[in-house]
This record gives sequence, C-alpha cells and structure tokens, in this order.
Amino acid sequence: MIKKVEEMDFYDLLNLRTDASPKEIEDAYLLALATYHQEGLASYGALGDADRASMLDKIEEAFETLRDPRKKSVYDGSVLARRPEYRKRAYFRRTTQRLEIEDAQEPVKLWDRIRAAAGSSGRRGNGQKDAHNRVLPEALPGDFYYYGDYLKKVRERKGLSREEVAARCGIGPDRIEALEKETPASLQCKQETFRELSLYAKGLGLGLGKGQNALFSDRLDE
Amino acid sequence: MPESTEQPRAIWAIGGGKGGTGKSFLSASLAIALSVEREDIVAIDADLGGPNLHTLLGVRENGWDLGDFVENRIPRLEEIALPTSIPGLRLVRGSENTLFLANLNHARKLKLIRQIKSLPAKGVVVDLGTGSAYNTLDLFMTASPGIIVVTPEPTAVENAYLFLKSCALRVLRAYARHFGIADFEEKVSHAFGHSSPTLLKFMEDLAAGDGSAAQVLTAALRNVRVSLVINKARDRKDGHLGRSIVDVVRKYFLIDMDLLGTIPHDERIHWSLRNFSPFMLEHPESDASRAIRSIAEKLALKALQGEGEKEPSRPV
Repeated sequence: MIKKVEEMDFYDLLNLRTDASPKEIEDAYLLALATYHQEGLASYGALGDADRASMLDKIEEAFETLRDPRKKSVYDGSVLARRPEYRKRAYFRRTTQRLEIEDAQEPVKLWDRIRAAAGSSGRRGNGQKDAHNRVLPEALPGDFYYYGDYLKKVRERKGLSREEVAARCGIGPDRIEALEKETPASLQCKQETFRELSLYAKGLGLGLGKGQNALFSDRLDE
Repeated sequence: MPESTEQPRAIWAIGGGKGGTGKSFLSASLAIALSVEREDIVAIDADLGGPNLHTLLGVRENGWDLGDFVENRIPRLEEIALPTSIPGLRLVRGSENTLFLANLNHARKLKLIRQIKSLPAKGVVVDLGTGSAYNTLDLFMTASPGIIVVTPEPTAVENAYLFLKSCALRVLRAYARHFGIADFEEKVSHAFGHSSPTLLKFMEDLAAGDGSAAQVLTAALRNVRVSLVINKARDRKDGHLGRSIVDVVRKYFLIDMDLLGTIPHDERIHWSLRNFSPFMLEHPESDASRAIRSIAEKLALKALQGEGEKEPSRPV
C-alpha cells in the first residue's frame, strides 16, 4: 500500500525506532532538517518548495513531540498501538501441534506468571485433603508453563550440561529436563515445581528479587 | 553453439545519470576489489557513448569490443571477455564506434542482456554511460542491484533523481503492460507531460482512480533493487548525504534504496589516471580504497546471501 507522508507517524517520519534515545531523536531531527531544508542538497530536484516546506513542518512537529517526555508518552499511547509490531499477537508454544492463536494468553514475564498463579489458587490448594486431613497441593494446570525454554537457553549459553546444573542445584537431571520441556504430565505438583524451578534458576545464577524470594518462601512454608 | 548453463552469481551495474560522478572509476575499482573477493569477475564497458573502462584498468591493447559482439562479428560475449593484468578479472571493452548506440536495437539489446546473464563468471560489473536512454535503463535494471553513483553536487543529485524516476517509470510501464492496466501510458503522459510531480503524487492520483492497479505497481516499485554510492565526499556533511537521499527515495519514490557507502575525495585518483595505473592497486591503503573494498564486501555478501536463499530449491 502507498504510505502517504501525511499518514506516517513521527517515528517513520524521522526513521527512528520507537525506543530511540533522546540523543538519537535529536540526531534524526538534524539529519531530517538537512535533508528537507530549502537549501538542502538531498532533496534538490526531487521535491518542489511546497513539498519541502510541508515536510519541514511535519519534522518540527515530530521533534517537538518526541523530545518532550510528557508529550511523547501521550503520543506513544495513541499511536504505537496501531503499529504492526505492537498489535496483540498470539503467544506461540514450542510446537505447532499446540499452537494457540485466537484465545492465546498474552506473554507475561516468568515471575509475574508465577505470582499470579500463586495468588489465585496456589496458596489454598484445590481443597482436597489426604488421609491425615492435610490439604493436598493443587495439581499443576495443563496450560501452566514456566518458560522452560528460557532456562534451557540460559543453561546452554553458559555451556552447562543438565548433569552439571543438576549437581549445582541438587535436582536430578531428569527433573531439569522435565522443567525445560514444560511437560505438565512429567512435572510434579505446583508447590514442588516452584521449589525446583527456584533451585534451577539459582543454579543458573539467575538472581531472584526480594519479593520473588518471599513468594517462594511462602510457597515452601505451605 | 549452445549458451553456457553456468550463470554469473551476481550482476552489478553502475549508473546514475550525470557524467563525471565517477561511474567508470567505481566500476573499475569495484571490479578489482571483487576480483580479490570472489575471483573470476568480468567487467563490461557498456558506456554506449564514451567507453574508457579499459583505461582505468590500465589496459592499453586494442582488441575485439562490445560493438563486434552486438554487430555479430563475434558470436559470444564470453569470447571478447579478455584477461587483464589483474588476476581473476576479465574485461569486455566498450565500442568506440559512434554508431554503436544507434545500432543497439531491441533484438540486439536483448541478445546483449541474455549473454550478460549467461556469462560464465562469479560476478559481472557493468559500467553504464551517462543519461537515461532506454538501453541504459534496461541494462541497469538487469542488475541486482543497480548502483547509482552521486557526487555531492546539485547537478549530480538532480540527475540521479531523474535517472531513478526514469527507471521507476520503465518498471511501472512493464508491469502495467503485463497486468493489462488500462490507460497507464495516457496517465503517465498526462502527469509528466507538462510538469514533474513526485512519483508518490503520481501513485496517489493513480490509487484514487484505480486502487488495485496502484497496489500492484507499488509492489513493483518496492521490488526494485537499487543501491547508492556517494563519491568524492569532502566533509562530514557530504558523508550524511547518502542517508538523506535514501530517505527522500523511500518517501517520495516508494523505493527501498540501499546505501552501500561513501567514498572520500582523493586527489591522487587524478594522478593514478594520468599514470594509467588503477588507483586501487596504487593506493590500496587509502581511505577511498578502503571504502571501495567495504562496498565490494557488502555486495559480495549480498550475492552470497542470495545464493543461500536459492539453495533449497536446487535439486539434490
């Protein structure tokens, strides 16, 4: 489709990424001024005076908005959602067999996902009790997963085998594999999975924030 | 004799409208740099008005030239691609016959293009002449990419845009014919006959009348492979010119132009020419030579990536 200059957003107009720094915004503005200035060489012979003047007005407007954090924030809120890269995308699982498109979950960070799960029903379990009247831990939901792929990539990036990381965190290599593959059938109950996940993350040297530690302590106290 | 089935891996054509921007200098220098990168390069002097690539490559001997091939005195282009003193580089000399241009009719042009495409070499560098004649445009569009050379002067920039607009209209006409888009020629004549609107404005007007035709033709423009080299840059401001031109072309010509690099001005180029000695060989460590080598590396890499993309379709 033809993208008219009038339809370009300020980032397109200045050839900027949406996460551009203030210095990059200023540099892009200066280059655009040099390009479309009435005496600029780059647009000579390609554009008439009216087109140049119109473009310069847009460049000024773009810079005035993007240089001001408050205006930029308001502008981003109204414009970025329309950009293709910001449109809601389906969250893809590892295999196409389990592809979710229409009703997919939005990608949520690992710890947010864990916190949400713990806060909703994890603390009280599923209400079932054992022979000693103790509440049984809740069974792991089928659609619950922990970015095992991410942990696997970290492990591989660090050049660690499953055995090596297992020795570090005191979990068996088979459990490490189950965590990485995110296969609910092979994972234990949620409480145990949290514990193993925490140990695995620590074994990889991934720092846990204070709140996250507390979350895990709570879980382990149950 | 059947044509060889081996095809050049890449064809690079250097053009750009105005004379004196350094098209032949860049062609010769790139051919030398690429012959080191990829070996087995053929440089073709297709400057249909004033060929002098042989001089820039330090070739003094006379011999068969492009005119002999086009006028059927030599049946195959490969036969006039003669070795130079530079290892891995062969040269097809341009014709000094002033009637050459007039004699390059449609059938001969197609023959030339077909044989360029089937030259057994790893890469072909085609040096084009000045101006925007159809023959020059067609040879330019045969390449992937065609490379426009611009110097930081209003006349050079102006001519480069004119050349690019001519290329774009040539492509649009071909697509319009292929897709049977009605009245396209009339619309071109009407739009460009008495004024010079931007290509964007022309396409917007076209879209207002026939949205689907404009969509097809916009896609055609997006597929045009054109790269840019800024030559004879003297200061930092000149160094930014390439990015600025790419921006104007993207916004107002709807073409994604690739900036290959900027070559700094070097007085010694003149003296190398006077000595009949290729600058790249005489001053290999100069900033200009480094810039040209960097451009050659980019081109070679792109050609390699192109080969990589084709890999899966090859029969095992």
